[in-house]
Amino acid sequence: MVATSFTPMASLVGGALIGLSAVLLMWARGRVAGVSGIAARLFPPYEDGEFAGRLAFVAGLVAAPVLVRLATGSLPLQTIEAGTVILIVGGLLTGFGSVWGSGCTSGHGVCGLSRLSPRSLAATGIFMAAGMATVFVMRHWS
Amino acid sequence: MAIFIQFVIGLIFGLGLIVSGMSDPAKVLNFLDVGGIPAGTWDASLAFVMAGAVAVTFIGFGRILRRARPFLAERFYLPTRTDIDSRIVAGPAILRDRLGIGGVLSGAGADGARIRFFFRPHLRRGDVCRHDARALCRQPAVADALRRAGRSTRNLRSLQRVEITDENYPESSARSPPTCRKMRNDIPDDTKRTGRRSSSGPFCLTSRYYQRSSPTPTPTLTPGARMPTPARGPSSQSR
Repeated sequence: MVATSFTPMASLVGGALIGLSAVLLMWARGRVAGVSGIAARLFPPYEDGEFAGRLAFVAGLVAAPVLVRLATGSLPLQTIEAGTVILIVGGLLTGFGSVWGSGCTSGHGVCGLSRLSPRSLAATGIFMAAGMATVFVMRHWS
Repeated sequence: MAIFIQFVIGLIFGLGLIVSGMSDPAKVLNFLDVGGIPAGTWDASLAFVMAGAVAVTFIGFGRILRRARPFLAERFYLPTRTDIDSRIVAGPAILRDRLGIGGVLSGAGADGARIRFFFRPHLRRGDVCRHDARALCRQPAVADALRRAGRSTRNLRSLQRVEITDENYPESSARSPPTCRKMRNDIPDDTKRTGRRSSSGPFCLTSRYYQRSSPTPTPTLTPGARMPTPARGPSSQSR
């Protein structure tokens, strides 16, 4: 595993930016900023004519590291230890789980919790606990 | 315009992820690694990201959802399934259905809103069911439905008092225990399956909005509604 440093202030500020983004999306389009939902609805069926907006949102997400690269000259640090197979399996499971659970960290964890939704609280607790259990098994179960 | 705004919103989200360090999977994994707490490798940053984000959205959503509609859309699209456990116990998904489509908010004038209640058993004929219309309208599902019906979400005085009459008094539930928690179980089975009520059905609000009726008949504030004047039987007189 790779050690990471605890960054409370940067994380708080970054979290506030994420919150600002969610608030702006609600203000502009009246929609919840659930990244998994937005990404999932890039695929058919297209029922509500929001495809272009969702694509723009995802494009903005992808453009963020590009902007950072242009501004600072280096891409943000990413440390990925897992192999390709694990990444593919993990990505599929993540996508499946977030669609099945109708939300992810942003949809349930941020938008749902801030709306005091019990469902989102349950979902957030469950996926955090499941993630912790998975990491525990992968790292300490030997 | 809308497309560009959503691009910028996505960009802000992405920058938030980068600034918070959450673009690095190792940080997320180290947060999830509670087994690393003893060794000191646990990274609590993700909790701070969540705290920062929820703090902003909690305040921001509260303000924005009071508006009639979003800046660049017809209405708010909020998950409604979430609200089933909220303070309106009867299930706002159904309430929304009734308000938006059914005859509950009947087509009478701007303030001719009419609401029917799924009364609690401890309510009796002649009682006045009072509720805080503002609290009701703050429920996202209800506010959403009101907006779609072209109604104000602020001025709903007509919704504030409804008298329990023969028409809306449910005999069938008269003997079940007076717990509001049980409300969802009172919704007919087809509701649970389909999310819709087929029968003409009333709703309820939480019990804290109830009060006893005054001896004088309170007019139902529903102009144009068919709700009959309550026939005050001996049962209500004796109380």
